[in-house]
Amino acid sequence: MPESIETLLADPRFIRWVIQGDDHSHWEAWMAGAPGRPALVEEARTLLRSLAIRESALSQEEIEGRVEAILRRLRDDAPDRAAAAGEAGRLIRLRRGWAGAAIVAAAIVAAAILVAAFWLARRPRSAASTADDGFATVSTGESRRSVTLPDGSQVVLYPTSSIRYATHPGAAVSVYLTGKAEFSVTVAPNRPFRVYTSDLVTTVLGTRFVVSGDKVTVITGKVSVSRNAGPDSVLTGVQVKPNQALVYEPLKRDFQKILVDTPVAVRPPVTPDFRYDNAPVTEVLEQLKATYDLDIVYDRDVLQHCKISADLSDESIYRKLDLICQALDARYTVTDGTVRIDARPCE
Amino acid sequence: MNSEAPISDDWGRAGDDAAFAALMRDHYDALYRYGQHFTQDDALLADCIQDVFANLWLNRHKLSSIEHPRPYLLTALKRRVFRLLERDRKAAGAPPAFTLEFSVEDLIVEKQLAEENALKLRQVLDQLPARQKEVIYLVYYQQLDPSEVAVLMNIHRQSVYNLLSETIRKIRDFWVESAMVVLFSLLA
Repeated sequence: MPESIETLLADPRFIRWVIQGDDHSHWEAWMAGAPGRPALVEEARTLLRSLAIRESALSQEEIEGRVEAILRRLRDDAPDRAAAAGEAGRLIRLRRGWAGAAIVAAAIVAAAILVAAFWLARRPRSAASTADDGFATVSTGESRRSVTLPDGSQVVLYPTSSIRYATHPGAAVSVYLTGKAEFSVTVAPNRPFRVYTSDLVTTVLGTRFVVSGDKVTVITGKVSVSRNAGPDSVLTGVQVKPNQALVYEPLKRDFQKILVDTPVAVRPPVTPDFRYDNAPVTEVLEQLKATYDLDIVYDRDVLQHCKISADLSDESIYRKLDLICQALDARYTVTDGTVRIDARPCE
Repeated sequence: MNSEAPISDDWGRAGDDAAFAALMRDHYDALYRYGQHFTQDDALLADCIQDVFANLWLNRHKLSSIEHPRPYLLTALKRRVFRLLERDRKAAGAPPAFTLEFSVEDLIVEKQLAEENALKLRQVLDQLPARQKEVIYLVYYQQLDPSEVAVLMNIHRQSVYNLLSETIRKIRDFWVESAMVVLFSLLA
């Protein structure tokens, strides 16, 4: 087992764990194996942080555009004219064609952005607004600040946070966030709105939501959240609905959906007052699902004959579920933002 | 498809358009990031990346399985960039140097490092030879295995380890000299 810091920092497995969280259980066990190891890992992290660099990266839209341009070019070239690599004449032709396209592309979309240092976010010390080559940056110090983006979306930037966005966005709106902000996005069917933080990419279509560090809370609408670990990771978009919050744990590289502490009714209830008189339980549960936009899983066959008479008004969703289960002599569990009801049949 | 997926030789069949597009998407950013450390000419870099993919596409039937596309593509890009830069320069001179811009500012906040110490660290890092910077970059920022780095840079695998060790030692010395001993339990 490696013990020196040099060995560790030359071990690809260790590096992938420290940077991306791969193989976490293995390294967790390893750390517990000897008393000096956690401190060693801490030192390794500091040394790696000392190597932070600045690098330009391309937005997803820019990459997509370039990939498509290459594909088009590959399809256009007839196979019999395809030359082996290194044929000078063909190379020159390709290059000229590309240069023209590049100029046009650059005019439409701001291509390159500066990426902050290696997995650390910069924290501006005082409120500031700057603009440079097609991008604007807004930072807050002690107080909040409202920003209106070029597409009309509203952002409330919390203290000690900053956002960076293109002043002339193209097909999609991309916002780079460090810290915490609340977004109200205008609906636009073919225009994705994306918020990039160091760990997450949140893709939106017309909603209100809050992004803070590794946590995304949806207030209305729906967002899709994926890991921002560069294009070489498998992006799994997890859908987050209102009253759900998504917490990303970098070391586990997993999303954990949790129910927001106090879910609020997102739509007016179909049955006013939530007072039921001999109503089928399945109907009640469907109404709760619709009202609170929750996933409630239950066995329809089991509950098909169950009826309930109860006054569930003025109760929180949890209390409503408690009362229903009491009436049914059933129980409910919440896993990953989904409510599951285990009950026995009624006669 | 993720970047771990090998390039296989059954791309002769229909539908490999989509597979190839996915491959390009998976690796484009990494190629762009690597390439910029050799040239700031965005059009040239875009050309080179296109050439690398075009070559791969044209030769896809002849290729046997490539187990790890990432180092393969990075190597191809480096070769291509060098060739084009040499041609433009019209002089058989020194090959383009690898540049790396270190960013120590966040350490000032994160580790309460005094500005003058941060500058000193920056100097230490800036003065590292280009070869060493490239090794650091490929290992920590492209996450290549030391053996893959050795192939890409045409040096011995042991040299890769040596360069990494030396880097670690230099940074450690810096922290010790800055009297930040409290941050470490100095383990051998």
